[in-house]
Amino acid sequence: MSPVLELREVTRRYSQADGSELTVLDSVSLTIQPGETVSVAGRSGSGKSTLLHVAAGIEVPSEGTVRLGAKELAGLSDPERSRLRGRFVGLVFQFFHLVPYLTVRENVLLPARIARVREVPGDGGDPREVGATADRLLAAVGLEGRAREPARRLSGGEMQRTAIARALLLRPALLLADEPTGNLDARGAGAVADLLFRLVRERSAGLLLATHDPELAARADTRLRLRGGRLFPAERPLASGAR
Amino acid sequence: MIRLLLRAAPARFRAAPALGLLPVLAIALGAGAVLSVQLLNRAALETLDASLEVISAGADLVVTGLVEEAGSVPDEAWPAVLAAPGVRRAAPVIRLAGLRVGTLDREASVPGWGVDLVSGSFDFAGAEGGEGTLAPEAFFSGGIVLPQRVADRLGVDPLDPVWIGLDGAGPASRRPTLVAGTYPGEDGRASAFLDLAYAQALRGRPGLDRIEVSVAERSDVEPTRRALSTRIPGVRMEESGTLRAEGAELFAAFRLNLLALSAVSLLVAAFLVYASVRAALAARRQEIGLYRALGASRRRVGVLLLGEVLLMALAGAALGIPVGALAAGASLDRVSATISNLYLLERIEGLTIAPQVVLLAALVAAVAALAGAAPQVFAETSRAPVTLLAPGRAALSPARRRFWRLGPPVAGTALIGAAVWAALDPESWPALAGSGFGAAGALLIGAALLPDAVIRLAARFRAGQNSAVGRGVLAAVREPGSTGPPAAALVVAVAMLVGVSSLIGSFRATLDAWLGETLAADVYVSRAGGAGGARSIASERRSLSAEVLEITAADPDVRERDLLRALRIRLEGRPVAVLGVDAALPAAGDRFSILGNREAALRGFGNGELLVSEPLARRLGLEAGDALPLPAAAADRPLRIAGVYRDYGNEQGALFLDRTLMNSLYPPEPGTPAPVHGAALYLREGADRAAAVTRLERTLGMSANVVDNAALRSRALNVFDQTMAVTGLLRVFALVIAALGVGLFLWTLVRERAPEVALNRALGANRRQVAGGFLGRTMVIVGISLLIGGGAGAVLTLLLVHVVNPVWFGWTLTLHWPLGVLAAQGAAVVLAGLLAGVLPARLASRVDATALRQEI
Repeated sequence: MSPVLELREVTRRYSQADGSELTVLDSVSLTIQPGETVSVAGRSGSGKSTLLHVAAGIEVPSEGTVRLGAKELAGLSDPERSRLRGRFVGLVFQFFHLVPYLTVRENVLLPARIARVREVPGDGGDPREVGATADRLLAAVGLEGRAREPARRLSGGEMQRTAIARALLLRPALLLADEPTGNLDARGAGAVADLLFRLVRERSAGLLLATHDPELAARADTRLRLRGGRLFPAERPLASGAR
Repeated sequence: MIRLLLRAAPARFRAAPALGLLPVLAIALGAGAVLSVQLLNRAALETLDASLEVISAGADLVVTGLVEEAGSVPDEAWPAVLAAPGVRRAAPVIRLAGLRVGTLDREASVPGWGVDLVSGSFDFAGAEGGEGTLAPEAFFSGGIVLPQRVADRLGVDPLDPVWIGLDGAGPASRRPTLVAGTYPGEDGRASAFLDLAYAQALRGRPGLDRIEVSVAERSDVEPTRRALSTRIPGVRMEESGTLRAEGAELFAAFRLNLLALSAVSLLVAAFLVYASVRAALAARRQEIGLYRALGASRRRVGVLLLGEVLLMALAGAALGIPVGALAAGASLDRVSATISNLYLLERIEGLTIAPQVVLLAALVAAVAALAGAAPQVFAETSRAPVTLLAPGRAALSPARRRFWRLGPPVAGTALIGAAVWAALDPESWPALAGSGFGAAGALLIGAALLPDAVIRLAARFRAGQNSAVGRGVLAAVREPGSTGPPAAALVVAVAMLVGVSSLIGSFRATLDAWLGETLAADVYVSRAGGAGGARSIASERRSLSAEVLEITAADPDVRERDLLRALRIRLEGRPVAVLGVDAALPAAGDRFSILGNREAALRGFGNGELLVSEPLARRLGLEAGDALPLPAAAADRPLRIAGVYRDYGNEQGALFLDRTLMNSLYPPEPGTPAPVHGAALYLREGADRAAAVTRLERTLGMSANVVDNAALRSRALNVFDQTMAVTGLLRVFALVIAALGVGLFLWTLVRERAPEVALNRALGANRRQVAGGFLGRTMVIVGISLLIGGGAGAVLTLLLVHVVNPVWFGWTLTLHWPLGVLAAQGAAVVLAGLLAGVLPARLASRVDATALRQEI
């Protein structure tokens, strides 16, 4: 089985105002297999979000290669990268990022609208109408009763559940979650984490989770820590997922 | 704190240059529109002043003729005035309209006067700081005194040879003379002076245009006026200054029209300021919250923010001054043509940029900018600091949300309701001066308040979300706040475009129909040099020679001739053309488009009664059956009005009477035949009109203009088009400002919504899709603007045609929608809107998904 994500010797540097360069990721290598969950912990500013952006093809690495499934991102144009991201990757953010004037259901359907797809693979691989899938996902996250409400009326936890449903709509092979519980209280955080891991496992998707919450990080199969731009195993010198 | 804000201003500008620059540009265009119109209005007034100017310093009274013809004050009146008790000085003056001065290779047009140097105290020689020069012997021998700028343009000095002549009189009538002196003169108003006798000789007829009288004591003015009235019959006595006041009133309506059009540009600019301030304040909400949290009062923060807007307005005004001056310069010829066509004045010579006009434009721009910014500044500063400091978009309290949701559409509907009332029922609308313009202003403001509400109604829109444009449309209708302000600016521009274009279309169609109805003769003959037509003849007062009359009478194809005599009188202080035609002519009735009982009117006209033009009837409140006393040389003889006819050729008013009656009321100078200024020729059945015109042209040579019916009609329509062309520039101004507004607003929206754009990018949208979304928003703005602006424009058209036009110009127009023009303008609005949306859409497409680090 080929990995859903493969980073090889990825370095990401930013030019600074004084002309110097800041290295945020330094020769990072990481592989995620289908159904594998990986958490990356680290302090604020350690480069967790950058790692996720690079993995999603949102940012281009200064050095190294990124492979999403069978495709290497370096060879793709911007529209091709955008298309691949839309179909292959699901994104969950700390600040939820729902579109406030759209309803909850419309927010969930947004990736399908952008990708112009009307059907998505169901659990058995059979095509399912995207609207029905959105409704099933909303039921799965417990928001079926609020589907027609504008997203701005939801609580933080509800917003994040909506965001998770949105991330999973097109049945992505890889889910990237950036501090998914960072903006929630403890109870809400627990519920969202349960939901996230359950749905990812049900769909056999890979999960790369950036968090500084040790409890959340501990639920992943592989736990890594990002420090000084390099990845280290969270408890052992070398994690199974890091090379 | 002020220092802090000022210090931060450059950094803010660097961070968002367009946010600062575009409103400044909008204010510049608004101020430029106002300034250009003010400059043109002043230039027109100065031209008027130049022709009505009392040129003898210290004159208290002006004696003019009852009939406004050149030389209508007899020469004998001058000694009579001098002999009257209380008269200290009496200066005879004649005006040389269309004086041209030239050398072998250059020539210039300059207002000219014939004066008696001894009897008046003219200030051209030395009175302006002793800089003038005068060679009296040259002056008294027929030399000309020139303003320095004209002398410079011709490259002549005192005692240099030049030629002088009158416009339209041809090179043969030029005569050589010397430059008798030069004087500094004011720009744009400087005149040339000739000795009275030589001026009369140049004009080719005796008589004075006026006598400027200084009385011994200021308190003697009224007794002196009474004494002069008794001693000199057949003249009019006015206090110095009255002529100019009357003149200014002459085209007040025209000036007001231009001013109203420029005010529309300013209104659009104010909406733009509103939009930009709204966007700027949204970006700085947390900063404002911080100031408030740190103890700054609402008032203090509000004053500081308005201070920033004021600075922006002043920068805009500074930029608008050259824009206005350039626009005025570019429009000068058009306005000049309008003034000449409508008001029978001379052409405007040049522009003078007076400091007070510049200050006025700056002041108006500042007021418009502050008015545009104040609502948003008030809204932001009245929020609680905790609300302002909260991340994300601040929510309004339910009460305030209700107010902002319902207030504007309710107010807008009320304003539009008032305007609709005025448009549909002009009779019961209060006929106050300016109430028509007031209703038009209310309509535009009311329409601008509606987009939010209309967009809310469209918020149920769900279709088309699969396309990027469709999602942009959805975003636009779901968020009225992101669509309403630019739509409001565009609504005003669209309404103005529709209203003004439809008014002009209606006017043109009415004029065309009227010309078709009233140009009954086949061929028209007038004196060479004139544009032809009764109006032109009345202004130029050139009569046809006996030879021309004989030739036209002898032409084999001419069945009948309708001879026209024209002169101008003053009624209630305004010039009125008196036109004498052959009332008994069988085809006489075809010349008039009569309002009301046509048969009775024409019967009365045939029996020595008057036909008065509609503008004159409205101005003086006249109707069929009334008696109108005509100021005549013999006596003020009241004549009965037989009817009112439509006249779209002259705003000031005209009246027709039988030419024989006219000759008895205004007899020609003894020993000379009554002048004939034009001849309308009716050709025999089956005669070849083109051949007749060619034959007459060949026979008459340069001594007369010969035009056929169709050519005269097309000439009149050309004059109309030329007259209305000036409004085109102002319409373009309003559209450009509104398009700038749309662009600015979308640009700020890109900044505001960068995280939302980034989310779309993160979810897989490519750059084209993002750009498409913004174009979708633009389409909604343009669509809403066309919808509301088109409706408001239709009401505005009714207002302009049925309320403003009759009150201010006295014309009844037939409503005509110029569908082709409106369609073209609609396309221009769509194009301008989409062009305005292209740059923001490109900017949006460059937003990276990394912008997701911010909150939506």
